[in-house]
Amino acid sequence: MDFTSIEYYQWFLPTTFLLVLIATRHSKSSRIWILLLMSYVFFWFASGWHFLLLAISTVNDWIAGKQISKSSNLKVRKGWLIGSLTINLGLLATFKYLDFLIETWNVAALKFPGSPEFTTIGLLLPVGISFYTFQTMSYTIDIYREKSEPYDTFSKFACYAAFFPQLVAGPIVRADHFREQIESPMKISPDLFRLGLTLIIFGIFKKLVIGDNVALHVNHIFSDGIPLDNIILVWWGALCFGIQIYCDFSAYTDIAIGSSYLFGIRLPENFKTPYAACSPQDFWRRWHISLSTWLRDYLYIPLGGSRGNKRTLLFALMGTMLIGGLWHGASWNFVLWGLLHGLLLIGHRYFKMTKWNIYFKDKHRSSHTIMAWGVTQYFIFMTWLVFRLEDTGMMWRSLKTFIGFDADWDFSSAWEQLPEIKNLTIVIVAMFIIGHTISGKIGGFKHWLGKQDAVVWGFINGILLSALFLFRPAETIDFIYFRF
Amino acid sequence: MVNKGIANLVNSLIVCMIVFMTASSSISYNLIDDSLFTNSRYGMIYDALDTIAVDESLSVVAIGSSQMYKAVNGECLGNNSAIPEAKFYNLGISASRSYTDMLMIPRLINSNVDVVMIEVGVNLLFEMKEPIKGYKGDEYLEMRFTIDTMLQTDSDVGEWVEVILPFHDNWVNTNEIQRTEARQLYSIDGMEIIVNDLLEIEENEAVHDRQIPEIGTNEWIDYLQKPSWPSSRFERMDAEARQTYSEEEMSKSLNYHPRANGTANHAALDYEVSSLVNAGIKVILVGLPHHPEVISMLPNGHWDGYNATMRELVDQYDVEMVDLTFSPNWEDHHFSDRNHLDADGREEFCYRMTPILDNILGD
Repeated sequence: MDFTSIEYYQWFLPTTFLLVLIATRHSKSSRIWILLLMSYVFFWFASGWHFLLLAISTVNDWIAGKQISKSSNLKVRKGWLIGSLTINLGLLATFKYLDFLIETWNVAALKFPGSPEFTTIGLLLPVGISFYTFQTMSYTIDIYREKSEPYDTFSKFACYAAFFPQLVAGPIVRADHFREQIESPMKISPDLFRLGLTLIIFGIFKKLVIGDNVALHVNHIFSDGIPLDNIILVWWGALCFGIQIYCDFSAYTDIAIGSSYLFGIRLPENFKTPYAACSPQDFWRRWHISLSTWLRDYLYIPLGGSRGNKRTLLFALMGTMLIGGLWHGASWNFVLWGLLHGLLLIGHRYFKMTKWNIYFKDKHRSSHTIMAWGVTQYFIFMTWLVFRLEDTGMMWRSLKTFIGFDADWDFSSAWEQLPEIKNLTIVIVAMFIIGHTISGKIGGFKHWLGKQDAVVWGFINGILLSALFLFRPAETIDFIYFRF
Repeated sequence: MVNKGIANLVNSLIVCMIVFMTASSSISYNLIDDSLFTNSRYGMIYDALDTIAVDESLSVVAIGSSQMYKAVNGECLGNNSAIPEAKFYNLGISASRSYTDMLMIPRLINSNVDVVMIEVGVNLLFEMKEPIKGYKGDEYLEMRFTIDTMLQTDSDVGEWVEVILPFHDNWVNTNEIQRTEARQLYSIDGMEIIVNDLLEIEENEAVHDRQIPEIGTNEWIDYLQKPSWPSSRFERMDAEARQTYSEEEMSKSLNYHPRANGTANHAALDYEVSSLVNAGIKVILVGLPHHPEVISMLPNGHWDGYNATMRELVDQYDVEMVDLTFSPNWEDHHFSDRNHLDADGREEFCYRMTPILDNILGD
């Protein structure tokens, strides 16, 4: 079960809503227990027996948090923290990275005859493990840092760790934020309910109508046998993938936040029109915000951040981005993707201090903004190729083509390579670009829509639902971030 | 405050549902032009039957597979018939059989036809098995069931629903919601065509290129009686190719092992005959000829299942039977290949069938 499955809307969400509605009349704790129970039901349908890993992680951090909070002895506190991190990262390493490490070892072993080779284990990646591991880790670390208090009851903490809307693909919620939500008198207000519905409808529309339709072009262009030496084709593929991954991931977040609103719980925003960013730094303030702030607070700053000398800064930036890349998946592609973003961030840091840039920015502000936006987005979309193409040969070929190296500009040949449905996809992409731009100007289309009167709201949502009914492709593509 | 919020929520949902229902159905029907499906022989049946329904002359309709399609020349039958007001329509479709044709029976009954010629073929009486898990199954049936039931209305849904095998159920749309959902799969193609039209891009030519004449035109009426046929395969072969064909292809007809009863194809045939007879429409069961080389190599009793099926239906429903499968005097020049007639064969079929049809129409 996921957010595009019929079951989610047919029985899971309505049942959970009704149960929570009934429980709200009794007590706060019964409502929390129901949310917890339904979260585990959701996880069971999404990931089967892997719910045990979530339970282990939850119990581990609950105990560690309590023990750290109870003790004033730094050694004891550190011991509990290290123990908790070891279990969390151990589970993550085993289930997500072990086979990757074995494969890397085996490849390296080829260069050293006589070195032992190992067989991969083939463990299935538990859904959402990267998300809930980071979430529960931040809880324990915050208690250790004395920035936060432990939850007063296990049920609240378990609900925080397992809350089904954000369990599988975020946003990564901080413990204090969630506590604030469940400890305040939870009210299921009609306005919040309507806003929740807006986000859910808008999210499904983004995923199925925009994301899945452009994905047909992406999957076609980046499949075996398509020559990737045509710059127009590769640019189009990168543009479509950038749109696909945004519509896919932000749609998940929208549905997650919308579902939470139905229960009166507000989750933090995860995206703010990222393709309007005018610098790599700006991009990371707009893209997967809950991950980038997590990395900032628990990795970049502890690694020295911008407080130290240049070398520390470089180390912190690069280290954060490499680990951030690896967080996405057990593959060298993601490491390279992180490396490229690290280089972009470092390059930008130095470039923005140059006299030429300062002069140009002062004298020609608008042109500077447009140019900054163009250059930033050019590189952002280039890095999506690394993210998308697992095949090394295809990845290098498309990167070379993307920058115009050894590439041809034959428009008609690119056109012929596209799938049968061409013009509709071009219209969808054009509408996305216009919509994304307008959305950035009005502070988010869905929030604007949520505030409209009944007629406007009903009309636009009715049209979105109709488009959803008519223009979703025959096959739904899995959420990309489910893999992480 | 809360009441105001609830009223706003309820109003919003009502407007949303009204817009959704209005927009989705109206856009769907405007977006998905039926010509997407009805521009070929596979999707023409319901338009054809609607045309036949308004024709007040005596009408004879032939249904069945490509053997029937290549056998019936309605113009020849009309010219030779002693009944000038009779018209003869050929609705045979490649690879069709009772199991697919049964879907048109309710519409056929409502089309005021007088006689229906149903093909009973040795190659059409086999058992259908559930596909092994992981395999897609019969794509032809999927295509025919999907298109036919998508173009239907509620009045086309009849007892044939009970004949559909459980593993084919998914391809059949029996209510308006299912039909709309089935059409939805083509809305992206429909939208692409609209965008292409708006942008004046010529890529739609292939879609707009009708394989059959425009409905309502004289060419359309003629086509229903005398469809276009491909040229004879034998005539395209040189002596060596013809020899190879005789040695390698003729014996393939021996692979047909018609069952005597018990298959879904038999159930469909039974449904067709009983429904038509009960509606007062005369039925002729037609077994079409096979190349004499095929007949000569046929082991004794090999196609007994076919004979038994014919006999059973004739006995049960007292319908006419014309068995050309085992009738003599079919010659090589009548055939396009081992089991399809060519122009000479159609003429021969026409001469043999006209007196029988006249006799029935005269009654």
